Amino acid sequence: MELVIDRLTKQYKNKIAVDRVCTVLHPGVYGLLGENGAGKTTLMRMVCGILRPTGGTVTLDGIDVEEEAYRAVLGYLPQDFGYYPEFSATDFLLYIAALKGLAKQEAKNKTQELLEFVGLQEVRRKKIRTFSGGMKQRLGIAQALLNEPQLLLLDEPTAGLDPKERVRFRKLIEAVGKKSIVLLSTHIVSDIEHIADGVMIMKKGRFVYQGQWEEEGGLEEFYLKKIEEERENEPYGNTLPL
Amino acid sequence: MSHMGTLYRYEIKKILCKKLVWVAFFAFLALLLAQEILSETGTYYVAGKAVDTYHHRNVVERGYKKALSGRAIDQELLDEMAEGFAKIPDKTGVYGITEEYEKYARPYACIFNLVRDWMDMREQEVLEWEPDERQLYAVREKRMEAAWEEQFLSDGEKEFWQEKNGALVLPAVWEYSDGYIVYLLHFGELGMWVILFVSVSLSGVFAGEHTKRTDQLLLTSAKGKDMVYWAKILAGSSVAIVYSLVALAIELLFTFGRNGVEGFGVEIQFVLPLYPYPLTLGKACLIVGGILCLTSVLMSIIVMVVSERLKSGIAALAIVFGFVIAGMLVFIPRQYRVLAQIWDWLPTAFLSLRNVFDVRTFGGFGHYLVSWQVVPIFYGICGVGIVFLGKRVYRNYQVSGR
Repeated sequence: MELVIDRLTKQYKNKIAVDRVCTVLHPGVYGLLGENGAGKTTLMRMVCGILRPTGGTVTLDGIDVEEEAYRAVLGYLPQDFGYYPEFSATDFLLYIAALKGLAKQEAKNKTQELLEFVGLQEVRRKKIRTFSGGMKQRLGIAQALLNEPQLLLLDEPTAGLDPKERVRFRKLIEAVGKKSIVLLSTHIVSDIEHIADGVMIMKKGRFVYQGQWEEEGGLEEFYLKKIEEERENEPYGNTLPL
Repeated sequence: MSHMGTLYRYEIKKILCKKLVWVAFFAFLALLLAQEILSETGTYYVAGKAVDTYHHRNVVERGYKKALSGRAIDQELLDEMAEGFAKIPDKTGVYGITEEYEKYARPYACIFNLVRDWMDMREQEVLEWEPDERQLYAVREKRMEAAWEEQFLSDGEKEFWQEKNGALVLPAVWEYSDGYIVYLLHFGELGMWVILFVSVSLSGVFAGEHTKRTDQLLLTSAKGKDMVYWAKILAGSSVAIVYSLVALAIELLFTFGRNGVEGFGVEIQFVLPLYPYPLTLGKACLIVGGILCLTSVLMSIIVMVVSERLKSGIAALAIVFGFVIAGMLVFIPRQYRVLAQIWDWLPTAFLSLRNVFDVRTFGGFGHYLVSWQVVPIFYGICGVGIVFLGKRVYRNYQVSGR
């Protein structure tokens, strides 16, 4: 299984949000790090096919991002996860399962399994509008996993989770990463420090680093060092001249 | 196909879970109930004097109308009417409370009103009129032909309508048909309610996904770019059609419950005297019912697609309401025949008796289709076109800038 991102670019008028990004990913967990506005969410949106790139391609085993077959093996948790307040947790997951094309029985089984996994079994019949932020986020994670995705994209997935839930979440992602490609965008370095097989550091729309890290002070030190190095090398940024 | 069924059910659930949908429905129901209750309760006053209750008055009038059922509106009946009214001693004042009116004239009040409508006379003119059967029908024809001129009908259309008018059997036969008449007269209000309900209920079907930010979940799922679109369109159209049918059923229940079901075969000219098409009131009721359902489906499609294009339910509502209000306020001069006809046949304006039974036709070279025949075809074509246009808009939506 191979996700190929080839010269992926997104340009808005005089601003390049993502600039000729290239990478090839195989099953494993990959952390996408970067400051706010670095282009992480734009990149994630292009990789999941809800934002058309200005240039470049995204393919999974040769299947283009625009195709239904690509979406069929995709799991996505957006940064700003939206839900239907009037639906119960079960209804919501069954609906998403239908959207993902799961057969009825499979949808029921997976819904049950995931509700238990994210600790929402007790409140499965309650309306989502009564849920706390953390519960909604857990539901968001559950919906992304419904179709056992080969490509799982998680944009700031730990927002709203308490420390205990974060640990549980990390274990889950580690397990999923054994068979699937997990791309996890975050600015909280500790989320991926112990589980990521590789990191990609973004700054001003570009990968300033991709690969494994080796730093005594841990990933956080490494990340700050890379960002600082880049700041020194690129005094003018990547804003196009008007 | 099973996915389509599941998605359809969830889309229906999303629509019906909105409080606004139920508020709009119960407001409609309350208004209908109030209308029915108020028309049957209270005291009837003439010149400040209580003379009867509305309920009793309606019962008596229905009785008089039924008593004349089956009688031809000919010289004999017109003479009887004139004789009855002649017995009122002083016709210049408030004669409706006199004993003579009650005893001799009131049984013929429905014929009196018919003469007044068909001949476009004032009350005093009818009272002074020398009954003449031939004149009654001749004046109707003359007025009808004058209306054709005012509407800028072509010679071919005039011939078409002459032919249709020739098929009417004269003298017309009076039959009690209040149920159908009231139903047809309420059609415009009913249409307005349905348009408002459809617009309010369905403006969030697509736009709501953007405001709730669930659009990302839909568009990244396997069935989210195609099947969901069709499930939403189907669910919205179903809600529109079911609401139209429920509104029609409630209206029918009230009107026929109060006025009875007699009169299916009565000519439409008893409601629209200048409309020459040989059509019965029963068929006219079925036609307007069908047109109401079809228009509600087209409106549902328009509202949903516009809200998706603008990414805003409020903006879509503003556009629809703007057209509805403009339809009431803006009058396009009849000499701009095509423009005026298009304006009147827009779905926001079409739901009125005047437009459904319009004398302006579509066609030429001796082949003409009347409004209630051709508008459904136009609506069908437009609906399909708009749905496919909406599909492009939906599929090409880009999530950015949040």
